[in-house]
Amino acid sequence: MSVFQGFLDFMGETSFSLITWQMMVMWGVVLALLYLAVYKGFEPLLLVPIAFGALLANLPTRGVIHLKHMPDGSIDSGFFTVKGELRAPAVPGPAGDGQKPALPETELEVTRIEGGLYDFISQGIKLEIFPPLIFLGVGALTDFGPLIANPRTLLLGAAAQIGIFITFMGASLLGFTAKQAASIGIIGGADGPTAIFTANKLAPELLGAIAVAAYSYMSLVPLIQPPIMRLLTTHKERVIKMKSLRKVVRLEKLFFCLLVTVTCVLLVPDASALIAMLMLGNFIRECGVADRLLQACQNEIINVVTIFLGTSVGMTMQGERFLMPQTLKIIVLGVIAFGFATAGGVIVAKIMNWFSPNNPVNPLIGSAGVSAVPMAARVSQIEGQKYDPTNYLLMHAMGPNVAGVIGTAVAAGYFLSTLGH
Amino acid sequence: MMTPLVSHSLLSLAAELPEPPSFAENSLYQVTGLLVVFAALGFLTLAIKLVGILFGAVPASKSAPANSPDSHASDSEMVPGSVVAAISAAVHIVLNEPFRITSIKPLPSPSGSTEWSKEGRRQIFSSHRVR
Repeated sequence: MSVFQGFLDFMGETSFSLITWQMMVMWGVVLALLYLAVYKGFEPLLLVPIAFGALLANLPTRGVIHLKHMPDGSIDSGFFTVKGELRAPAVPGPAGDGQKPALPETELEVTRIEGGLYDFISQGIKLEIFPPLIFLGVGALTDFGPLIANPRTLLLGAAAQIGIFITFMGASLLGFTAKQAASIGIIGGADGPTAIFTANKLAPELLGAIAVAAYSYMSLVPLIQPPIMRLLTTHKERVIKMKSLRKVVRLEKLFFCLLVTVTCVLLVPDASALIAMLMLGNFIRECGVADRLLQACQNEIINVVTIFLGTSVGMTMQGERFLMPQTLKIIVLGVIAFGFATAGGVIVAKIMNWFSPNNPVNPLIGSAGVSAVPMAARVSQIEGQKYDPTNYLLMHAMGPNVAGVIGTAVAAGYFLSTLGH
Repeated sequence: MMTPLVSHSLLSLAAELPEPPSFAENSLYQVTGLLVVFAALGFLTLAIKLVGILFGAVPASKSAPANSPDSHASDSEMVPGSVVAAISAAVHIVLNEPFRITSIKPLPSPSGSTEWSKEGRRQIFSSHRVR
């Protein structure tokens, strides 16, 4: 065999011939995501793993992840094979007293488990393990003090969820099923883990597009929100100075964790995993006696899970199922969701001022009701300072901001309760 | 007691949501959802207010610096030792000759920044940027 023939044989074993045009288009998408993350600083902790996962999903890899063409024509991923043998025991099972002999128990002996790296890691999304674990870390990193000090800001967090429901209707009109529309609507909550959690349960075929839209728009909050905030407020409203927040004692914060857990689990049990882990993380933070656990939640757990979650989501972005007209619709619906969510928070803040003119709320903090923590609160602060440099809205905006996290989880629970069964 | 009732009503509502739903059916479903969110967070609002009263919530401290330029202290004894050390080091680097600090007075910044707001910002900015 000549050297040339050997080289040709080797080339026949490579994957170059498996490259498709969809893969090459997705490489462009990957580059765009990496550019936004690395050079523009847009949610780099999530977009980098997502983009890298998307790159791997659009390369003819081996031993990473396996695709499966479903009977309905869709493509799914993250399957592994368990091989084994069924063995009947040599002796029948013991007979009961005066009863007929028990049936022999058949044993399954697993001989081999086959699958790629991400066939196993993706189970963290499929089995809905990663989003609640992210919420554990988020809870450990969040200070609910501003919310407890000014509980009426919870209503701003609720108002901002209107974007979810309006987008649901928009998605329905565009031909999406109710389950798909609910998953798309959740983008308006600006809460990545909740969006992934909901999409995985209701519309796993849209998971990649929904996750990318959610995280991309969360990173674009500083661009999307300010024009809407300015449009809906007057100069007089933008310079409102809010009263200083009162001090919140530790016992109140601990009680808050238990209260939210019990209330939300009773009302929307399908959101139990998210709410429970969020509040567990916060309880660990506020109790002050579990510092090692707190450090783990705030650092190791959330960081490791973020890598796995991001890459697993990216792995769902195979060109064949991502480059569809519905992806473009989801991208458009996502920005509509963010717009209405922002408007909802601002408008309800203005309405609240009609009822409490002596203790007004600066409507600019209403936009923070979308739960992109803490970016949305930061936008309120920056916008407020543009009109009055001595006005500090950040801590006030953190109230609706963290309320939005709870509100989005409740909205997701509503969809899961009504559509997920 | 509440869970089965609420869950049952939600499920029956979903059963009434045909595929595809009409505009009216869809609207009713969305309004109900928004109502659920407001009910949950509204209940929490009332409960937290009640808890705040029960725990005898501490009102906003009058001594807390709240955007008032006049509220700065002039007593150098109030300045923490770590701040004195940092200022001394900075002065030493800049002057590079023997010096004596006679007083330290916090000045209001042009933007009216306060320690309280700085601390708030520090906490937020040092928080995660994951979600």
